Amino acid sequence: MTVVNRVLATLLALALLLGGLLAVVEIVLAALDQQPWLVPHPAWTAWLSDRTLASGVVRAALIGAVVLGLVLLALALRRGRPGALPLPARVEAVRTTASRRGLERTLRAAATRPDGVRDARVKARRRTVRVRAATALRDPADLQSRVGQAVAERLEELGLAGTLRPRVTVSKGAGR
Amino acid sequence: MSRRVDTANRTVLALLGLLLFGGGAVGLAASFGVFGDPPPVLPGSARRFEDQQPWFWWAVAGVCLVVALLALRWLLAQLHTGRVTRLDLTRDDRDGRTVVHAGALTEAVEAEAQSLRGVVGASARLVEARGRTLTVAVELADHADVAEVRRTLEDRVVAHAREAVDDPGLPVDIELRPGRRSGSRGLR
Repeated sequence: MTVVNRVLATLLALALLLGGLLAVVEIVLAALDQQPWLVPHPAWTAWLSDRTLASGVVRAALIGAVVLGLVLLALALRRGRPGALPLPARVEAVRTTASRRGLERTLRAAATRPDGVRDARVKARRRTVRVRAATALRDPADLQSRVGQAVAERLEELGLAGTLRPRVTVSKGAGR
Repeated sequence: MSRRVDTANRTVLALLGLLLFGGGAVGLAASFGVFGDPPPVLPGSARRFEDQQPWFWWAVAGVCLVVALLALRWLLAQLHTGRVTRLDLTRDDRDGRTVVHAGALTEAVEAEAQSLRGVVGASARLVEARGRTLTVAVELADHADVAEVRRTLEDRVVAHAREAVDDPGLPVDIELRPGRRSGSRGLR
């Protein structure tokens, strides 16, 4: 989400910068009784003067503004999944984190270790880790608890046992 | 990526979103007659006002210029990495100047981190965040003893880096990236 926001911020900043400068240039040219440079504002003014807010094009533009506003608000306020999860501090002024992708990789390896697991999918969030293991066994029996134990042990090794709660489900299928 | 820039991005995006949503919603309400008959997009009174007040367009130009300058500042913030290239360790100019290239420190940190068992790659940078901060990213093989690597990084590697720059309180951010295959390429 951070990368999306950064790309969007760059594009918006560029648009505002160019738009602002263009407006200043056009205002100065109009004040000097010169022809417009890029924006044919006399034609736009005449066109807008003939329209009311009820006209179709204006309504479409307003709906576009509402939708774009909602998209920007959603992107700005959505927290998304963390890029890295903090580990309990040990040394003063040293902040250690585990990358989410790395965590998912290593937990997937742990989840596929017990016999009978064909594959596993792992999604880490701020407080939980969702592990979906796939098995070809007809009777998975205690496979769920064995996978859960393997994942919990790995979290313990990483120092995240108190931070992340594993949720394990086992399904009979081909996995990914 | 700097947290400060990310926070600024979220704030500006939220403000722009609110402005667009609010303006669009009020305009739509007006277009559907909530406030009476739908008005023209450019009312005659507005056109008369701008004709009678010569300062109006100069004020608009001033606002546009301010918006453009703020946008330029926002744009430059996206490109700013905060990376520090030199460290001035001079305490007293009369004793001479001591400057350390940040690359020398970060390369030493990377080399020491990569020498640890289970580490397949390491990358270090010195950045301006919370003052001067050393950030280290470490790729770990899946068989690595994460707790041991972490302990060594925090106790030994960080201590050496702090000793090198003569700053016992140097803030350090370490990111562990476990789960790499032993044969895979590291960070560089």
